[in-house]
Amino acid sequence: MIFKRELKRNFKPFLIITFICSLMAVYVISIGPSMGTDIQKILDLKLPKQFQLAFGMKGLDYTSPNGFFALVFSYLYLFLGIYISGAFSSVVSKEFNDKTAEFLFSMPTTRTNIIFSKLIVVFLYSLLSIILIFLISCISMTLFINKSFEILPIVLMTLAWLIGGITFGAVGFLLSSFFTKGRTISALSIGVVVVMFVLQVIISMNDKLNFLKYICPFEWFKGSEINLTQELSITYILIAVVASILCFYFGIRRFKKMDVLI
Amino acid sequence: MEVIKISNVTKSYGKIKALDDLCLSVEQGEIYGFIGPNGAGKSTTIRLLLNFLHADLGGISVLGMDPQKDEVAIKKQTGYVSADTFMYPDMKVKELFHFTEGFHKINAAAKIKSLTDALDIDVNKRFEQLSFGNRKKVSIACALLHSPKLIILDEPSNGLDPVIRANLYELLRNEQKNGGTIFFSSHVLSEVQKFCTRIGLLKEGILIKENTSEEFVNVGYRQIRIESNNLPDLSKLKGVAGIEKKQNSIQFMYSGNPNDLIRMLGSVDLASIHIEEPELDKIFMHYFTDERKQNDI
Repeated sequence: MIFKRELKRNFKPFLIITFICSLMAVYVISIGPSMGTDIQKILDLKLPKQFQLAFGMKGLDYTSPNGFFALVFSYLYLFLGIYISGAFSSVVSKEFNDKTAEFLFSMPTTRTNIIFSKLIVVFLYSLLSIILIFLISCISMTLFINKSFEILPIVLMTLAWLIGGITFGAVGFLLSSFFTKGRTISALSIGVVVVMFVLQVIISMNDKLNFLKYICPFEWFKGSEINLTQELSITYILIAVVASILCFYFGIRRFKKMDVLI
Repeated sequence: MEVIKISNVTKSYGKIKALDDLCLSVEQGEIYGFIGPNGAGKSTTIRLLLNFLHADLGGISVLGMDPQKDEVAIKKQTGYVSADTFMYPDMKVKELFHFTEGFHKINAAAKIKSLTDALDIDVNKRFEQLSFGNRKKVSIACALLHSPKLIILDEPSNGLDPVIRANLYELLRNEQKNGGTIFFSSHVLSEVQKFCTRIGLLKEGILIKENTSEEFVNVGYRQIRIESNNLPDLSKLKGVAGIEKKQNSIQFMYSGNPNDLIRMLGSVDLASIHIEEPELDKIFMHYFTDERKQNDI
């Protein structure tokens, strides 16, 4: 019952974010043929090299379709991070804010069951959204850029969205077990993603802060690096998986013991 | 069989003690009324029974089970109506019934029909379109549709019109006849008095009195109303409380020596005098007036 209910409840936000991200991907890819190598000149004029490095744009080959996908990667990573973090943070907190928690928790099922069902739905929508953006991007590259492209870096970048997005989601979920008030948790979950985005810029500008890259999901996966190496760092994947498991574990533990007071 | 057993339970919210060493038990088939002013700990007690809250100290047993360990088994046999009645606003009433049926893994079409008829519920409206009273009715129907063994209601008659209120109590009596136990909190004291088999009075987290409805009002006080053109001065009479004075009448609670009262009234030209057992709300007010007023009695 909860599964069906959550599928319905989360459908609109899923549709909106998938549409916006897909549109952005299609737009950037569509300007590829007309801009070509000029885009590097434009970027050099508009964006300092440190920023280009920070956003994973430095060293991209804009004569290839993969270069254009890598260009859009970091922006979609940011949008997807905000969406997934917000969706996971509202999994339980929304029940408290809408004051429906008492009704739901009075049903004959465990809190763990309720939370798991809700988390699975949010995970599925996040996955589906990322898969759709991937497919739409691939179709766009085929249609707009009359050149063949390598699929592996694009698959890896899509995986990076998922891994990084779920990490942000897990952090948002853990935070929501401390702050159940709607506005507070919304601001916090978005704030964490934005702060991390800014942090990657700061790290790329200051070598002394390099140690912070382990806590910054935007530093873990960069379009240009994935394009170049055609791999994802195992270390960062492990950090992401362990951090996500810990956040979900402690979040569920807190929600199970939490007083339901509305 | 004790359906509810609360043993020495203490619950605090930070520095505020909501329940202090509360002991209470409800037998199967009882209708137990839980009364007390706002903040007395009624809702906290109910939430502890449903595992919404966890006690700091003490033990709780519901239907012979532990609310924390046997949460699902207890909730399968329990119906709950909250005081504030919040459900999913975008769902139609029939969807809410279906949602509840799904959790209980039952098809309760016949029961839903009888409940919607008795409570006059429109199942095609969205929950957000309903007035507070109608929301309450939907909440009551959701709580009763699986014919629970224990029904817990927090201020159930709030927002209901008198006809629906009467129907609600009829429904609850039927559940009781079928072996159900009812535990509810209320501010409508006259209804608690009429409807409950036993009443508990909670004040600042402490159960200060528990008795049958009849015994509750038989506490040694009488309610006296006098009509006269020259009303007596009651200040010298011991055992007087709750004085309500109007132009040509005076009403008060009296627990003193009847001879003293008659002697004093001998000097008064009475138009009429009424001596009766006090209603529950008078008793309630007696227990919840401040210490100074209580000492007057």
